Amino acid sequence: MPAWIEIKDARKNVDDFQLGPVNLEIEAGTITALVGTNGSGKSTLLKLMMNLANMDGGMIRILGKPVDGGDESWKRHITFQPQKQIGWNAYTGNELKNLIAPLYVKWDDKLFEHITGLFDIPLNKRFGKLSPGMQQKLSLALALPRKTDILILDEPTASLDIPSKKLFMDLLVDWMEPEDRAVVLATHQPDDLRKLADYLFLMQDGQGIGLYEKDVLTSSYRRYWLTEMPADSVPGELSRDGRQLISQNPDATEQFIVAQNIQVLDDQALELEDIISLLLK
Amino acid sequence: MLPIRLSKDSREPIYHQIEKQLKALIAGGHLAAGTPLPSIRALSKDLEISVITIRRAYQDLEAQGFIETAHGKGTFVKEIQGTVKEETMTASVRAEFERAIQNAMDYDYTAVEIKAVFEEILEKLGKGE
Amino acid sequence: MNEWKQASRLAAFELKASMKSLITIFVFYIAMSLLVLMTFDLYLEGEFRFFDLLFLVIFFLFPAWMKSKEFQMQKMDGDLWTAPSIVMLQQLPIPKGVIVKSRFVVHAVCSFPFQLILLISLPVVSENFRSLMTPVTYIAFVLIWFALSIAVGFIMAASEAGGNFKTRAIVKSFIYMIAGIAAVYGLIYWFAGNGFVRWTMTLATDWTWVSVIVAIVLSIAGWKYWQADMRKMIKKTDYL
Repeated sequence: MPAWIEIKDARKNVDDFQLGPVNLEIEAGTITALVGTNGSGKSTLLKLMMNLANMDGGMIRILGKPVDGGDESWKRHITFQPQKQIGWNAYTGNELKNLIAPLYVKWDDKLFEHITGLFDIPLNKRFGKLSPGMQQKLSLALALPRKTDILILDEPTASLDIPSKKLFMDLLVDWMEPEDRAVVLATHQPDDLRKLADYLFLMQDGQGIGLYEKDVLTSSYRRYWLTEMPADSVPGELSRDGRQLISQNPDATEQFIVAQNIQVLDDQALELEDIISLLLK
Repeated sequence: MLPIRLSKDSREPIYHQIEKQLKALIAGGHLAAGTPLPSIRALSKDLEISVITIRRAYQDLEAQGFIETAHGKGTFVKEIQGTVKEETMTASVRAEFERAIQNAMDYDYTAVEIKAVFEEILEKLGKGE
Repeated sequence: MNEWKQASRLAAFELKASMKSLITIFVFYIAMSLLVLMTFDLYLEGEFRFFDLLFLVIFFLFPAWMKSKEFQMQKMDGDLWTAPSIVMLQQLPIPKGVIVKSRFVVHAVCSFPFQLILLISLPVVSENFRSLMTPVTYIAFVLIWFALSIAVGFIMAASEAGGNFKTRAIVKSFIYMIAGIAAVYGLIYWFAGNGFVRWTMTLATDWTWVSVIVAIVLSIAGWKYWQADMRKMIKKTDYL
């Protein structure tokens, strides 16, 4: 099956900032999280996927169609929830629903009602008068029922309270139940990464550092406490601190340690956040 | 939700841990034949593991005849043969003993000492007749 | 045609959402305009040259200012200037052609009724105007101004596409625009000997049929040109 989103050498210059060249492929049935420090280019990349800006080079295809081509039909199959909704302020939730729903053939009104009930969203109040958290809830209520093949979310849970975050995750997991959908989300929330992401795409200073399968990433790093630290560098060594060693190749490290007759006092997997911090250092 | 507990600190591959624990639940009769299993995505969220790993575990279990997937309906526990049940239980029990004995040997226990501990625990748990 | 239907649906949402303020401002602008129009007689007698400028501002700019703030062109993140609706609609499965047309529908609804009231008021408030025009030349006069409304006024609609501008560039282009208007204004005085409004009256009376034909051609050309221009600008702009 061809990738649902295909990004090839996509580049964009914005003043002094340089995005790319970025290469990324998104397959059906997966949730991919874009992870990076502030200003690493996540939102810009998402907006390029929606053809909201012109690339300086490269190519982005959605469901096989180039986004900057004359055929705009791919937009029917993709939902984009930006960090900040622009142009929504003057409309009430009901008005927005009436505007958006007819644009999507698979619009699920029951799901919309379910979500607005779940989050207790006032639908007769103007979007601009809602709190940031409520705005985010309404955005989600207007995004998920579109049931498009692809869902792009830019920091969807940043303003949500803890119970709402949990509800959001359940909603998204249910939404992903048909295994032919794909989600791309930019997030800073460790919980989103742990519970939702299958792949992590790490970004830094406009560059894609790599696409990692989450479980491969977590099993590739290990922290060891040794009886003594070898003077020379250890195979797989990423960093050391006293008798503590962090390895990005546990197999090689352990083989070496055994051969050197060094005892391991304790060893431990690294938390996902720690690994991300190491990779983005 | 399934009573599966993964050890992320363990070097044992995650998919292997999932397989082992699900097999034990099925062979031990905790999951009867026909019981629906959580979807891959739901289990992925609960266990905080990617769907890729969960799918691998489910595929292995399906190949070994522990579960079956009905298209569009979900995944269910399969009726397993007595011998398979037996084998799985034996393997599971053996694995636990092996781990405990290995642990004791790491602490330089002798065979006699290990047997003594074993007898003592058996006594304590009230089945030492 | 289907595109116009879809565009009208989108325009209706926008107009409905700002209905209250739209009507209030409409009434207020009409009242203000009528006050200015009281000086029309004076102008036709050659006494009040400033009327031209006031009338042009009222005719072209008031319709664009009618929309409430949330729908006006504004500065977004970075160097982006645009109307928020343009950003919103581009994130939905709406073809660019429909987005452009929806802007034109909104602008037409804001400008045409207002401008029609202005043009109808002229013979009502001015005895001089009535004596200078016949019913036929009056119709030619109205057509000239509708053509101007489309060929010039719809710059306001097309410009909502916005663009990536530095503030300095905006100030510069604004100064050029003012200079351009002043030049055209001066030229007309120099050539025709009197003001712009008066000049269009002369065109309608002395060149009635030529004016009618030119006005119709200008309307169609302007209508098409600004849509194509807006489409081009939307494509060119980075909505980041």
